[in-house]
Amino acid sequence: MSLNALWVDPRDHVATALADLAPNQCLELKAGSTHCQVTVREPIPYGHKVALQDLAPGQTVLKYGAPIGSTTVAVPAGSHVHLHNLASRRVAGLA
Amino acid sequence: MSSGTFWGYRRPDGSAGIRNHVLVVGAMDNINPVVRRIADGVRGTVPLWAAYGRGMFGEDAEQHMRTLAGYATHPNVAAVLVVSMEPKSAAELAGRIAASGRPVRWLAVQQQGGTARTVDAGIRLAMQMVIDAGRILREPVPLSELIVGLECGASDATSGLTANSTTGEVADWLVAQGGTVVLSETEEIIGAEDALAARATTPEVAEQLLAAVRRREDEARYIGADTVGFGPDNAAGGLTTLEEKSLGAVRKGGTSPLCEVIGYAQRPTGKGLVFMDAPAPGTENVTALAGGGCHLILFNTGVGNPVGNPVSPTLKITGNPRTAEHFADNIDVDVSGILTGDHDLAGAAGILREHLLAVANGMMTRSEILGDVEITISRVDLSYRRLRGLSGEQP
Repeated sequence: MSLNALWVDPRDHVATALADLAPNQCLELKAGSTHCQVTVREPIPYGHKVALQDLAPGQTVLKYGAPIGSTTVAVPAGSHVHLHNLASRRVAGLA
Repeated sequence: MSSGTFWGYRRPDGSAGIRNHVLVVGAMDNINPVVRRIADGVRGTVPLWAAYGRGMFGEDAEQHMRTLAGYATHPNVAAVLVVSMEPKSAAELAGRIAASGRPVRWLAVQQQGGTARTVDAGIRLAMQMVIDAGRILREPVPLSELIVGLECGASDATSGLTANSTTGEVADWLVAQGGTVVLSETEEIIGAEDALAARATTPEVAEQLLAAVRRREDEARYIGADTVGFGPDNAAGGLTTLEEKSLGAVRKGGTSPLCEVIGYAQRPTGKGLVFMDAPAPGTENVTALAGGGCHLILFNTGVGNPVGNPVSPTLKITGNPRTAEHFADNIDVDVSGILTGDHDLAGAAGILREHLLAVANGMMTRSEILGDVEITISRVDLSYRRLRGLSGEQP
């Protein structure tokens, strides 16, 4: 068995791709005893993040159960979460 | 042996080590070749030499000497031969070691009359120390006495998710056993410092941690370096924000309350999770952790970093399946099964815990076997400290 994405904490809004993910791919994930399911909307490279639920603009995004930044636009479930839709609250993001 | 103990060597100062080293230590860089020749001539000795040691001042000199003394009085060290160029520095370091109750002798090359005579005398002294150290037997020691340092080097996208998460589980286990875990690498926690400070046992500890991060950021600005610590390579690997990167790094400390913040190569005074304010680069950070008395180091590596420490056995852990295979000679523990689905986090933590105990009980690490051991004592930028009024010295 090989995992295609890793969901660390059940509070997390994102999971990390452990393989290149393709559109329409269905992910079944488990964090502790919590399960979730999401359909990938767009290509997501290995090591990058996928949204597990619909995220509103300005929403705090959790990974490792802690805030990693805020969304800059609405992010539908299954989307690639990266520099184009997530910004640091600690320092200005990369240009 | 009961589950809550390891086999250690009891020392006169009450500490207990997981190795029984006879250390040949150089007090300054000009006699390092002599140190190496003595150690080459006596099996069972460990040479310890560092750059600098001459022309150092104030806190810079103090940190250098404190670190050397930290190694010479480390729980893993049974006896010490100090070598220096002249008697004053040799006697000063030897005095600190004698205060710990350890057998210590010193030699000064100027007094002995050159390198050949010093090497000749040093071999005989060290040889006797190795014979005497062999009489010390391992005995059961409570795990609550174990101090484990944490480091990551050559990190990649898998580090936070696999090796650091595994180490975090083991860190929580050791703290639950009453032991001590030392998290460090100040620049690596920028962005996660609030989450860590929120776990501090007192407001003072929280403030010390936040102050250490502010100082490191200010120091970076002072020298004109990038204070962000997040670059295009991180983003290409899938990390998006500094918080995300730092939370992955901090994860290796587990979830225990933060009990204490200590300085470079300082000894923890209590138990539990401790933060050491020291620079992040692998060799420098491990030098500080071992100098602070950590019995062993858990060193997570994503892409592969071979370096270990001469006094504190350094376990190399990777969660990257490619590194586990390609860099196998240098990897002690492979937890990449988390990514391949061969085991879950709890399973990986079990593997690491078992390996940690085996190393504490005497099993050698890859870096010990291969001799991939090195120290680099960080220097203190006195001009920065004076400018910011941080120095205790009078101008």
